[in-house]
Amino acid sequence: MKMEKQPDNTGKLVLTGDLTIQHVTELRGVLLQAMQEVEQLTLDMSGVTDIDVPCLQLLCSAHRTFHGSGKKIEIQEGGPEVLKKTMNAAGYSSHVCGAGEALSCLWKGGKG
Amino acid sequence: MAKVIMSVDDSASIRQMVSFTLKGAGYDVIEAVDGKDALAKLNGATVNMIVTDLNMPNLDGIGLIKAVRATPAHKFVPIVMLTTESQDSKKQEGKSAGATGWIVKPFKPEQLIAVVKKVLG
Amino acid sequence: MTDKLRETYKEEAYELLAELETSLLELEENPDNLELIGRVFRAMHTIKGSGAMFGFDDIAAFTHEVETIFDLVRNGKLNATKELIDLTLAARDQIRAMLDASDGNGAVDAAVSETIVAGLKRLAPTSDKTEAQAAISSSQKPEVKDSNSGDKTSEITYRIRFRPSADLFVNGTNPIPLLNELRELGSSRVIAHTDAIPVLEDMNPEICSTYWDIILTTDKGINAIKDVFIFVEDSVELKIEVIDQGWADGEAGDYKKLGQILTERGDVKSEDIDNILGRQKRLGELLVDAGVARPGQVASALVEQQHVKEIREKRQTVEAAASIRVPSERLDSMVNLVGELVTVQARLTQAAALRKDPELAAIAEEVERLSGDLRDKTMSIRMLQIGTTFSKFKRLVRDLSKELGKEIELTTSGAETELDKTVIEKLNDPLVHLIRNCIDHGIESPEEREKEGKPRIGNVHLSAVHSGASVLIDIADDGKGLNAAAIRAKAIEKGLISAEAALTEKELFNLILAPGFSTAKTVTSVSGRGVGMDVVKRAIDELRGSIEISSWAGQGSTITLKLPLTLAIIEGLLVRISGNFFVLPLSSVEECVELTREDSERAHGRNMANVRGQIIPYIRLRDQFMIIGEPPAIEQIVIARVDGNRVGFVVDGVIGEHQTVIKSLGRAYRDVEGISGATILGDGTVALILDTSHLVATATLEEQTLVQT
Repeated sequence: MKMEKQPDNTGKLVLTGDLTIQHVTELRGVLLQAMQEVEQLTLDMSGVTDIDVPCLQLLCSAHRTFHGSGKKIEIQEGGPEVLKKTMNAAGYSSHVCGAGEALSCLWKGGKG
Repeated sequence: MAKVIMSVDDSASIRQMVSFTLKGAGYDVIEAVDGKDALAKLNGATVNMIVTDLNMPNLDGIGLIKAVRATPAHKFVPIVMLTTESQDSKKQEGKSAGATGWIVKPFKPEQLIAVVKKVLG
Repeated sequence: MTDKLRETYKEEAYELLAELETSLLELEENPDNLELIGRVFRAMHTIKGSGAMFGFDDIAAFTHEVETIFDLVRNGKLNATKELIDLTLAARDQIRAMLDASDGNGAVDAAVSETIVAGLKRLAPTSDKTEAQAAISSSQKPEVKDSNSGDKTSEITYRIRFRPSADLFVNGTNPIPLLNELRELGSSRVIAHTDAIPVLEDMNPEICSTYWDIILTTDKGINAIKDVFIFVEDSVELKIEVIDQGWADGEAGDYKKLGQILTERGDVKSEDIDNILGRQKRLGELLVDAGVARPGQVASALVEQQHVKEIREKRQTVEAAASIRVPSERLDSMVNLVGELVTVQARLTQAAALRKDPELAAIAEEVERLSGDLRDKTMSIRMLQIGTTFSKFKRLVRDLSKELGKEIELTTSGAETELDKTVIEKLNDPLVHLIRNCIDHGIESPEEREKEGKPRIGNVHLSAVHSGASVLIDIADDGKGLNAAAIRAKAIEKGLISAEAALTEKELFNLILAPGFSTAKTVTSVSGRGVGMDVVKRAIDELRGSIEISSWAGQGSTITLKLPLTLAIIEGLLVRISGNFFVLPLSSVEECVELTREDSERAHGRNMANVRGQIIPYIRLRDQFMIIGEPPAIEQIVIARVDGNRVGFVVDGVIGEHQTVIKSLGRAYRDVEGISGATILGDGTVALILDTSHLVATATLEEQTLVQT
């Protein structure tokens, strides 16, 4: 996992394979670094083959963190089917973004 | 791709029964005769779940659970232990060692499948 | 596969026993060697554990005793004395003997097992025995319960708050299968709460910081829900509350206010709600604005509100669509009104015919058609499937056969057959009685049945089928059948027949319906309640039905009830005696023949007619009802089948078929015998409906009295 940084202070993180608990610690590190380096981060999750609740909650945390410091984070359109499936199964589809970020919720493409 | 379950038991008949049941339900099965054998076979392998007996020579079930939870590659693998009725304290010990669930012996194939489904989804 | 596993187990057990022997002998030399003690314990443990898995229950139970002792040795509570090792070696030999015997080669001496167990128990410190016992008994209940095994209850809606402990993921638990398992229990909404997720800097991503609200509507009961969480129950916060009982309390679409839900969940204090409600905005927004509730909590409460509203709305629409409940009196009064209408319509038709007015005739015809339709529709509303009655008997059969130590199953067919509500209601008691008889007298004990070469489990079959304007209900059993000789003896004893009477088998069987004939020798709680088949007969007569009995010795008997589809209308044959009209139920009428004065004279005053060589007894209704006047030269005999016999009823003339709306006679005439009701004819005349069965019974009795005097 490595972020590509663009000259305009935006970044893109391509995530592939199984995004499961074995990788959350690594992913957290990458996201923390991105927080410091860019103003806006796009997640390309089209190559993700599996995702679990630990990763969902980590991405939620990332969103909260970016939003809290006035930065943006979004998932690139065309996320994998497994993401939608897991979100439904885990009840994340009907969650409400905590602490006032509702309008930009990561999972809803920022459209609330 | 079929999920892989490791069956760890020093009793060949139990291993066979677990193996037969799980293969019938569409899982791949790796067999190990005790905790030590299990750790050796885990090395480098992809295992989605472990079903282990508690009383085994060389390395018993509790020892295996602790060892697996300490191995970075497998520390989050669901582990279901096979216990007998007289081992309620063992069950507690196994849970604090990091076991995910348990099955009480004697059990029926359907019960095994139900537990695997509960843990693996 | 099972056999193969048993073989594997035996091989393994023999190996373990060999190893056990070696270990025990070594242990005798080094009684403190923990490694050896562990080996002995494990061998016993495997023999026991696997034995129970593959059906070697005796070995498992016996080995458990030895294992219990060695657990004490292992924990340093007991020493591996010479005595203990001797006993264990003996136990090892005994297990071997049990394994050998499992092939059917030789038997195991249970006394040896007992001696060994007793010896081992003597060695154990007393306090530990009870502990071991407790462990065994607590193990009887299986850990993984079948979630469908709970009692079927109505659908209840639960609110489940599932807040996992931090180490949920670390112990290998994936919450998604658990949520899916809940979804399988019924209709559900799952809401994840993310408000406790910290920012990246403070986050330990391996800790579970999500919690869930699940709104679940299920008929599986609360234990099925708890079973889902069985592996995590002592490390999670689990709150399960009933929020909808499943029956229609409250209006459709009406549910608790948002504030109430949030307070119940403990998310918001009720004072805060009261404070905020003072302002004019939507409560949810207000609560969030005021910082007393998090948006996720409000959203989750709103989901609950929505879910229960939907469940309640669905329940109402289902109820509304499926049926409307109407008090049965309203139906009864509607049938009465339709009866009046049919009567008036008949008068109208008659009047129109008299006036020869084509316009009026056309109207009368139209009214006739419409009232006919209305009558049929009204009757069909009263029709119910007999199945509900049938299913009630399953329990009866189960309980009774258990009480009598018999094995009986009840099978049914034609449960969808429709009958008038009143008929079904009145049929219940006779059917209970007949089924009780089958179970008590008909079907033999399982041992007797096996001796007869029949299956152990007896069968009682209930069936219903339409046959014209009647319904035939069969109660058949495959028991020993009626004992014709015993019935005969009893009938003679009770004075029902003379000792010389020559009766066909059928006539003999019919005797059990006679008043005072009770076959129950001793009063059992099942059929001998002091009432006999005569009560059944009376009940069926009241329904204007008939009973037929068939029986085959050793093979069983069948009782057939023939019942009219409805009690409100019968197809009747209208007859006349002088100026009086009577109706005979058409279903029992077989033919009409003439009776001339010469015929009756030829019979020398005996009421017998010769119809094509068959002698038919008849009843002169003119005499029976003491109607004054001379009979015409040629009378009519209406021959009907009454209780299996052909009997004639002599009348002046036969008018024809008549569809009859039945009116009850009212209290004043309740005790009039031979009449079951009345009907109003087109011109307003009243015709009485004859109770043929009763008339025959009365006439037979009179005949007998006559003979005796």
